[in-house]
Amino acid sequence: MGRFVVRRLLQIIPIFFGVTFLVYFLVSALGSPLDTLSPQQKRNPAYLEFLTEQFNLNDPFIVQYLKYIGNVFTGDLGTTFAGESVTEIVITRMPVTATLAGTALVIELVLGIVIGVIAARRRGKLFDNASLVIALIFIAIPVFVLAFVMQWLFGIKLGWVVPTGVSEGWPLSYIVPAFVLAAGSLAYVIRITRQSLLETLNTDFIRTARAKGLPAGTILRRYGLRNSLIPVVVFLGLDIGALMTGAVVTEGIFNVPGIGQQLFTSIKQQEAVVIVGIVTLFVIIFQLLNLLVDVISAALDPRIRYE
Amino acid sequence: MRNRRRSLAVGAVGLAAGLLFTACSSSSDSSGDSGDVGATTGGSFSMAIEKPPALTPTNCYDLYCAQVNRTLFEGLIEFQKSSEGALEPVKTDMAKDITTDDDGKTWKIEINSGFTFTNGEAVTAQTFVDTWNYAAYGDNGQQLGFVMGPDQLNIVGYDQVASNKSKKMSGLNVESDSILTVELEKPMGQSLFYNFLGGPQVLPLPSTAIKDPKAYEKQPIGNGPYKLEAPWTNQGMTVVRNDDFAGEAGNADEIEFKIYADNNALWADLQANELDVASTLPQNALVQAESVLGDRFINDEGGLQYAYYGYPANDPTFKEKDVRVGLAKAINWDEINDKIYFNTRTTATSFAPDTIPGGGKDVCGDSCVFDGAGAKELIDGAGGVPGGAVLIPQLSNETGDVQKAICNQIQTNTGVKCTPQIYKDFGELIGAVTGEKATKGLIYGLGWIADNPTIQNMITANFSSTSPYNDLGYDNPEFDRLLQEGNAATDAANQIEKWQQAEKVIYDDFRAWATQFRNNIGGYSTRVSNVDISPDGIVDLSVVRVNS
Repeated sequence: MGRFVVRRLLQIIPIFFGVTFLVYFLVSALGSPLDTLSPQQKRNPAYLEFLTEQFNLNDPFIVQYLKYIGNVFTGDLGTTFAGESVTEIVITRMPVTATLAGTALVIELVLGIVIGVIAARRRGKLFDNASLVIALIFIAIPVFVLAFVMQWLFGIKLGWVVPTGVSEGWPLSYIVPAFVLAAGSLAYVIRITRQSLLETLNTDFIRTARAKGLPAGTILRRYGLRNSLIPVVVFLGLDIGALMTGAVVTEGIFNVPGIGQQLFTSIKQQEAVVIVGIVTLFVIIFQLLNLLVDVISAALDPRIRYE
Repeated sequence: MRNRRRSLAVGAVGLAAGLLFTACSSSSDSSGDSGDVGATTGGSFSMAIEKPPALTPTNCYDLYCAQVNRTLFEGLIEFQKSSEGALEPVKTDMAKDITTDDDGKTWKIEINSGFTFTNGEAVTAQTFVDTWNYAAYGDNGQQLGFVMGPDQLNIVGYDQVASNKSKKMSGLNVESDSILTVELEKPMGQSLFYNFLGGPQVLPLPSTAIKDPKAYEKQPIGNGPYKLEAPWTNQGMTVVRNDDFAGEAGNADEIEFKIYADNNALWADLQANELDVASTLPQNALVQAESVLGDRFINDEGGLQYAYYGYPANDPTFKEKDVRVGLAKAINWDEINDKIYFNTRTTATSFAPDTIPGGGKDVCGDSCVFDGAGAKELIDGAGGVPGGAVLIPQLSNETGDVQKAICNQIQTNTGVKCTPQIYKDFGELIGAVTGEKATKGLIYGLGWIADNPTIQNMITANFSSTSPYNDLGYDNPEFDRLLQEGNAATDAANQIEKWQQAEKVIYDDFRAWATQFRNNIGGYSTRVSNVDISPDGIVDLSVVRVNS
């Protein structure tokens, strides 16, 4: 297991270089970021020169990239046009996104598994069918439609929460956006849990346990659930990536000052330095979480070995 | 998105930002030491802003930074509405005297004592000299340093400082603690000089700002009616009343600026009464804003922004004036403003709305009157449009509704084929008319946001032959001459007349015409009253009352 973890960690190095290079290249291909400034903003030649100098815009692409990477290794992620440090942006915004994504994950985990288990236990009954229909609806609705509807319903119509922002703190300000963020995946978690549990409950060892007269609750919790959770955990691990990218939309609509909101703004302004910083961070987090998923899967199922 | 942002080209008037200046809609009597005059009503309220790229005045480029700085700083000049409703520059409580002895070449600025920064440092003549030298110095990378240069104030010695050869402009000198002199390269009329001193970019900075700009940017220290008690964040900032302020105090004890990345979020909060003041609304809220907010919906004509279309000088497609006028007459702007903008824009007949001294006249005349049949007649009479087709530019972040409407009208009314042409960003659009391979048949268009309320500012950058932003390549010596004569005129009435004549020259040539002025739209909650958006888009927050 130890060697496996080390190997996976080492894999992050080439991925880091590949991703940063690719993103930097893509953003550079869009053209000079100075082109996004309006003519009225470009009136100061001294300032344009200052920007060109600071972002090495006169250098060929590859030199720009190498200079950027060089700075990254000294801990300097660069600055935005306005002079804000990217490191600082990440430090102040990441916790907000982490809270949002974390809340969404908890909603998926708790609601998804509970509803999935009940649906499996009452297979073919009203609850099972209703959960299937609702799951399908959530999967089908585009996330921004759901976001606006929820915002209107809970924020404006009922007035239970402030429609936007995080001024009320956790959990009140986070619960609606987190639910919107979780909704699509929640439906999958319900379906996967139900399916996986049904399969497990039909296996021989469960039948044996029943024959031995173990209580139904114990069978479900200790044998059924534990063995059915592996696909759910794998799905949730992969889903964290979706939660982070989904945060770009959700944070925009609910005005949550997280990293997704910053990414959206920076893409519009073609600020390569910020985009590369954030995307690279996303990729590394995604890698680490996948590693964690693999480790947890092994813990859940002793048959899984990585050596 | 709003902003951000905001869509920026033709359809939507307005470039991301002009140099904002701070208008004052309340006609206070400026009685000097009015610190304890009248009772303030107290309370606290919130206002929506977009995240400003910076708050430091020398980098203060956008509307929202200007809005916040309006509460944090006191400058030398502010703008007040005259009896005719136009904005005029007047001295603030802090400026004792701004005079010239030699017809506008050398100016003496005298400052009232008693004004201090909230860290205790006094605002003196030296403060202004240091601030302006800091702003102009090239390596300091201050975005707005150029206002000291030929574009605006034109202080002697600017070039040396901007090119890092000197740290001090020789035209700036301290006479005493309260008096500084400013020597200009060329004489300037009082109105223009006052106007240039009205923007946030010439506000005084404390010495800490110059010593450590990065730390200062996190929590700017000003000399205004309010102060920041904590660093500002991605969520916004809260300003509280500055009890030591020597000028007129604001009504509220506390104002919270909430940062919105998306206007739709702002609209949701406004509907839920969770947000008190908004000086912008998302496009898709316009249709219902009036029915939702009632008389709390603000839709004021006279915003200092125009959208224009023009014909590139080097494009033979538009050689005939009758073709140029015909195409303009084929577009029904009143209908576009009504159907697409829900009357939040006003059809323009000149480059300056009536909130600018000398503005609001019908300079364009018949050429801007919609007349489908007449348009076809003009174009056919001139032998049609060479190539038979025109293009209307659209930026990739725009929906294109306006461009489609324009093209439909041109095509239906004149039979000239018209298609929207999409550009990635400003750079690509400008390249399409100024580059070596200019696109033929492109009716170029952008917008302009006033730096200050003068006709001069509305027409110089886009149409002066020496301006680097004259994308159309418009070049008429008569226009340049009248503009210069107006700039140098010391008599205010004469000055405005010259500028109006210059404006007329553009319309006579009909190389470009202003299409719309943008109204100032916004709204407020049931908790506050006396909310008014001044023509420059800034709300005078000092006079907003929190309802008890």
